[in-house]
Amino acid sequence: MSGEAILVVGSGPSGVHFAATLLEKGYRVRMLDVGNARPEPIEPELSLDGLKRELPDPRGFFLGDDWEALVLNDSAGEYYGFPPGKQYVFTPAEPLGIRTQGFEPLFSHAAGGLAEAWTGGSYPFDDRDLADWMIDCDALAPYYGRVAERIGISGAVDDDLAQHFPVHAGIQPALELDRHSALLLERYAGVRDRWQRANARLGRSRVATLSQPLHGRQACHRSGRCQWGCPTDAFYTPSVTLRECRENERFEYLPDHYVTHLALTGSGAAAAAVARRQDGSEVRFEANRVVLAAGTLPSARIVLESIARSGDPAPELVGLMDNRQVLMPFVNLRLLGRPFDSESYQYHQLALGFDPGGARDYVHGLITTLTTALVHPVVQALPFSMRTSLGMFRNIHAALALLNLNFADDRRPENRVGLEPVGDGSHRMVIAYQPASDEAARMKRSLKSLRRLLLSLGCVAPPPMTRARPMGASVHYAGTFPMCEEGGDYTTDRDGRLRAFGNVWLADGSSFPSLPAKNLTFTLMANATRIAEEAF
Amino acid sequence: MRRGEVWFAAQGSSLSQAGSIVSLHAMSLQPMGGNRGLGGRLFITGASGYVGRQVVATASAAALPMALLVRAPASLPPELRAAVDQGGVEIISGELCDAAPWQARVQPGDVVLHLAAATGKATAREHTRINVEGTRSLAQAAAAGGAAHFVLVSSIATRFPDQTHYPYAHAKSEAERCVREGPLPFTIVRPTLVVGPNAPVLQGFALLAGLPITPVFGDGQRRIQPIDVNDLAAALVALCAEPPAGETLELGGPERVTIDAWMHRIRGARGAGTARLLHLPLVPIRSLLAFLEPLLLPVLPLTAGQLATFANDGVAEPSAFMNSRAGTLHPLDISLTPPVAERLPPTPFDAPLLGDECRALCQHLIGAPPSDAMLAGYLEHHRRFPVGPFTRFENELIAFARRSAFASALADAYSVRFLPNGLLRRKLVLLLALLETDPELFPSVDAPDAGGGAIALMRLMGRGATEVGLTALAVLWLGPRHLLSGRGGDE
Repeated sequence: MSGEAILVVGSGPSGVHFAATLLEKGYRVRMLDVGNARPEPIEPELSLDGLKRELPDPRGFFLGDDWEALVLNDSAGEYYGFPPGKQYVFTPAEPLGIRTQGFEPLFSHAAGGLAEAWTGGSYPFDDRDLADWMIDCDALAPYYGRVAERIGISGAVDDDLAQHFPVHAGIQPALELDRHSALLLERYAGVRDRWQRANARLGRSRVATLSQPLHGRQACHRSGRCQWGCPTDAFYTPSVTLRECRENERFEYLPDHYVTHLALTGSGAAAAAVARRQDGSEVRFEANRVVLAAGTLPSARIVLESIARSGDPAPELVGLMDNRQVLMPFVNLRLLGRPFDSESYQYHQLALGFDPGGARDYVHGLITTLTTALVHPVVQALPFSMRTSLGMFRNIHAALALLNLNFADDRRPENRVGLEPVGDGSHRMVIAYQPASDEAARMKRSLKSLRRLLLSLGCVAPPPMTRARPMGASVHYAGTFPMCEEGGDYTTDRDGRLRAFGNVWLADGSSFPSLPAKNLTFTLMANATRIAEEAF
Repeated sequence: MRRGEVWFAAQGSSLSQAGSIVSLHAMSLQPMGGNRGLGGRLFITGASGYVGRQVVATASAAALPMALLVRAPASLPPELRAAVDQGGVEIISGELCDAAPWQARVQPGDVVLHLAAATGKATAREHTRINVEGTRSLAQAAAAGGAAHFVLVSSIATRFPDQTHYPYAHAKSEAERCVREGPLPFTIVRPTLVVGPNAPVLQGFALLAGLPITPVFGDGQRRIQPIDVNDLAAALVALCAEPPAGETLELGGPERVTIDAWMHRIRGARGAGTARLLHLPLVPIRSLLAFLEPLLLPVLPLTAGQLATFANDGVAEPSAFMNSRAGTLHPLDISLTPPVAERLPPTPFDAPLLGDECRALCQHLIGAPPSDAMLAGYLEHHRRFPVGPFTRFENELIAFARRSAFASALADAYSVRFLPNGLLRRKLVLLLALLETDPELFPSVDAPDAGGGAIALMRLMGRGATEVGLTALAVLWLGPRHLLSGRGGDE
């Protein structure tokens, strides 16, 4: 089934799994991408402490040559200094202009997309999550399984939390627990009735990290370097699948191609993708079928720019969604004054589901046991002098953990993506977002209950340290071209085909009609696989 | 939160280009017709004050000719100096209460905008001298010079039913009477609470709202209607261009809120959560302050009279004039958003001095000197990213910390409470980041103390107690210096 190549824009989780599926079906695929490459891991055999001791310039590695991971007291409050080794994911900044209100979006030009900096949470949506969708859990399940078999997902299928996550193929045994997570789970066993009465459950995370070797990749060997870039690919990122695709002779990967718009025919179909290169030249790629998988916001920009360049006024897209994230640090009193183990898996090993009952109320939480994160952003957040804070931190380091809560979102008309002219004939993207009017109240209710539940595990979450991240920070963007049975030009059908153009498919989060609290990345991969399988 | 952005959001604007607040207001003034209604100049008193500076900026943007009566022309605020440099502004040197030297400078047709007033902790005698006698003297001089219109900026406090221990309100009432009974056509304006960037009244409230527990005098149910300084200035300039109203206009902002809600909003605008309010009995506190004022007025944080805000509704009577301006008023949350702080210039790079600083701070942090790699990193960061402090006191604090590890401990304890975003703490954070990535010293930020469990808990409590002691000592030692060099770090 070779013939004409299908044009895919973007190499993020949607793009690579769409491409991989088409390749499996025998298609030829041409992928256009900016494609900043991940740096080669250094000294893969060294542990995190080993890097500190052995590297000639550990400061440069951990804080960055330009000190970009240094979080000073007068910069925005985050608990993580972003690792310099992952800066390539976010630089350079979006070259075309952008103006925002109430939204702080992130963009990536990395080969592998924003998910090069994800934390691996892989949670299938259940029927309740998919209530507004044109597909149900049974329809997606085979694709979750297919993706899991490609990338390797580890986790439990029989604990309390598993009821929120449909079981699919390809799940490896859960990773070995670090001491803190093991203690939390042990304590939970004693209070699980209380948790269940509050409609809350704690269990193992499902993560895209290998507990067993897969397709030539090693299992996790707990070097403690997760945040700094897994040196062995035990932790999955989309660049792994991109690499596999590139081994296929029917796959043509064209980096240094930033797609600005689609050239449209007189009847409004896409005739070609037009890409800009670093040297300023513009290249046109003719195609009968174009698949946009550049990510929700870049794909929206491409569609809007295509319309604007065709001479019609670009519409304003409504319904942009993102998960509100709240970071709730807590201290496990049983681990006060204990040493910590830096050689352990660093991302979340436990997750919690809190379900107060409303349609959009399910809250999804990830518990990270913060052992090898940079210390200085956390120490300065303690409300004491630096010396006292450091002294306290040394004794609570092993006891510290972070609950990262994700709240669901839905499409609302006030959340918009548009274009505006900037004078020289070009446009910039304009994004406006307002939280739902009941968001604050919903969050407050949930946070109060969750603090109590943490307390039942012997953990204290000081309220002043809980922080809501700005909208846009979770990078779970979706909803600009929602899938629906019948809709206007700027909606898609069940297979992600954009009604306005007819021969353009949106394989990323653009077509999600709602955004559950669970991290969307695994569903991006599964849905892209489904579209490739069913529509091509 | 950026002021311009939220303004547009609050206006329900579509996705149009955001502009600056000042330019918006200059635009909103244009329909008033520039100096169409002004027969002469704007003769302004109190131009150096908080409202006065904004009035001059607004009038200057509308190219209105102005004469400013100022006490010390040599030390004009930069904003006024800029307006003077633009031209069309005459500076008249003189004292309000001594009109003889400048009386002849009032020109026929001038519109006198009288903003000068004694406020805050002035004595009752000062209130009378400046607010009553000064107004009378100005009104007489203005009449003698042939001014066309006298606009008195009074206060909403003049109609507070409860003016106990409040000489300012009494004096302003008397000033209003002088103007009403005076020879000139007049307009009297009573603004409500004036807010906006660096508003003096807001700094006081922000200090209260920033505390872990916010004291509120009284039941917190009195209502206020704060007006943004930009809106007030635009309204005053517009009124000066209108014929004399011959009446009293009350100018308030777009929202009426209770004192309790006001405290929550101030905290919210500063990114903090809901305030925890502690209602304190108003009457005994006012009585106590009134009792102490004769002796301790200069050092009291507030006066008995100022508490009148907590005892009275401070909302404006609606008027056709304010109704016509409703669409141009700043939303309250915008007015409450603090301006982005600006740093002073950095001190020149001085490696030996920074080396001493690094050693003192490191000795304080971990009880050991820095490694060579840390020292090099400390210098490199200062060389590549020179930044200045927000206030001059921060330089003093850093110089103090440099003296010894103990001085560093005091400065550290002080800065976390009173200058958390300041330069000293920035240096400590940098040092910590260098420590945790140092090949030799990184375990010093990781390893717990020996013992664990209950012992660790006791150690934590011990650290807390030490912190309390150090903080107390730091407040006693460094607090007075900080106060003398500029209150609360907002110079």
